[in-house]
Amino acid sequence: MEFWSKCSEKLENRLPQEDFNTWIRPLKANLINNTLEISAPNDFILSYVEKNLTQEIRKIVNKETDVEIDLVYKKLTKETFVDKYKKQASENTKLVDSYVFDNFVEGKSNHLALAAARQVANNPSGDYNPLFIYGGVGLGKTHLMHAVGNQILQNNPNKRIVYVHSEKFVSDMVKALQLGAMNEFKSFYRNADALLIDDIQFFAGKEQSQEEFFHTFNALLDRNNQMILTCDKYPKEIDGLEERLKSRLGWGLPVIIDPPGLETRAAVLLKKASLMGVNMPNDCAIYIAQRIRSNIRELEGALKRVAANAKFTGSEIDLPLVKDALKDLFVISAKMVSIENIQKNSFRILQHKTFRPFIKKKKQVYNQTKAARNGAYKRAYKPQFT
Amino acid sequence: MNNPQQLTFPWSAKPKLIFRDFYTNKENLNLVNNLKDQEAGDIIIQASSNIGKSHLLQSVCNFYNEIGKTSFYLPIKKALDYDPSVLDSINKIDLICIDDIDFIAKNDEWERAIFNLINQCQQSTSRIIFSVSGSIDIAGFNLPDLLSRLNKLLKYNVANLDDRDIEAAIDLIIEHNSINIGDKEINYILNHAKRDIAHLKHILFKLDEYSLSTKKKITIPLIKEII
Repeated sequence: MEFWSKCSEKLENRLPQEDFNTWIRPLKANLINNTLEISAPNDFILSYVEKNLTQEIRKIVNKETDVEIDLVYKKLTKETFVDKYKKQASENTKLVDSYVFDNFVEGKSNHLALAAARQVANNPSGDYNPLFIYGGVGLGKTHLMHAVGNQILQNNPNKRIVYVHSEKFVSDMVKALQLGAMNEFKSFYRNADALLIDDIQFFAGKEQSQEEFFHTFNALLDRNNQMILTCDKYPKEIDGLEERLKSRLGWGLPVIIDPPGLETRAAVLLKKASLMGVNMPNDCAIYIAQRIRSNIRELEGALKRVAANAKFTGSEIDLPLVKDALKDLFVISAKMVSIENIQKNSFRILQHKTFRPFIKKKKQVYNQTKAARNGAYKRAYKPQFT
Repeated sequence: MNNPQQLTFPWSAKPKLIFRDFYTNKENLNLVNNLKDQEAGDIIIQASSNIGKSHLLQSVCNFYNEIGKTSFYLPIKKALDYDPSVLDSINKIDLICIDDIDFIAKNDEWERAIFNLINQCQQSTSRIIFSVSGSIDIAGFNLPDLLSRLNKLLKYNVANLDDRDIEAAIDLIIEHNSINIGDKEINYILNHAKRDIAHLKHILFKLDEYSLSTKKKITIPLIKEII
């Protein structure tokens, strides 16, 4: 039995189970000569263990051997950070294999975005650079972005496609700055054949990340390399983003994905069900799609529940099964749009920025009407001098 | 020493959390099967508090360990005192269990950290299992992107146990932990203590520990004292 496994088993008996599962389970340790090198997924876990559990570990470790063992905690260094990036660069993409055009359901709400994405996939670095896909949460922006990446890669396996979520870009940049590895960080992104950045609204308010993103953006466009970006808003509407960046984001083609209509939602359900190998009757798909209107992810969650229920009961999917599997979900959605709820929240709803222009306009109309009425009143009751 | 106490084994009071000790009725048997099934994907366990969510999550961790896989368990109630960077790069671990995720609601930093974790796990083979008290839809998350990602996962509602289930669950705890207690005493506990499993389990373990260390039988007067 490996040395660390033995120690770990003993630690399990000494520590509270919760602490063991949080701090000891994710550790890896190698005994090299008389040194036990301990590593963790991140420096926070490692520092916690070093500060709070060293004594306990030392006791166990020394009981296992006759010689004195040194404990060494292996923290993230510039070398390990750079190695990670080099490895990523050689391994190519971080694309999700299942996000391809074949299983993206086309509808009125995403027709234009899909057409543009196909165009970019088959002709990257063409007119639509950057391709900017925007729309609400859970509507398929990420799917479409990965589909473009996967298609480019299928057409040309030598291309280096880099996918990153904006938050990851920011956190890695912070690490790179701390470790003095900015050159490696820059070159990783600036040398991509196609750079895909998800949810760029999260760059808002992060000036240094925006600055780096701006230069990466320029470097890629100078070389005519493709960029695909997703966001929950139209470029000009992103608060907290520099104007020069907003302007550049609009250079290529901004395409919107709207919330899907009933037919598209039902089609998405049927498609996803067939991909899962689940037999979903049409009436069930329509029944669910009529009740879950917010986004595709919620539809997917509902489908998983129905499928799990059918598997467990060993029955075919039909309306009674769907109603039973999703009863609490439907109760919640029904509650969310109840008259009582709308009345209770009407003030808050009207305060939302979506309604502000209408309220402003209504006020204007009211004021104009009032002025006109006053004018008419004045005119009507103007003293008549005869 | 006038009154020496017998020392108990340290692990007798803290047995390893395993599925066998979780009482499964017809409704939650499906959940337990899915937790054990590595192909079942990411899951959210929704239940009222003190029904055994933490027990289930730690049982999956222990189960994964038995089959040679890595795991990580994070109880959010405690983790809120830590920096969210505790979640950095944990997507290399086979199983990640996050307990009481509703406690991060309205905490922007933590909401983002969980959102990032889900995004990163999507690109790796890590499996995530969350637990929530109540329902994620009413937890009140600020970040719509997070709620939408959570809604994609398979949700399981753990039904509250009725009286018959609670009795069966207590029998199971007594049997698996070899607690020496009579029917009359069990009935007394069931009639006088709060009817939630975590609380009842705590009472039973306390009684057992006391009975072992003092070499006295568990009696109603003793139960009265403990309750």
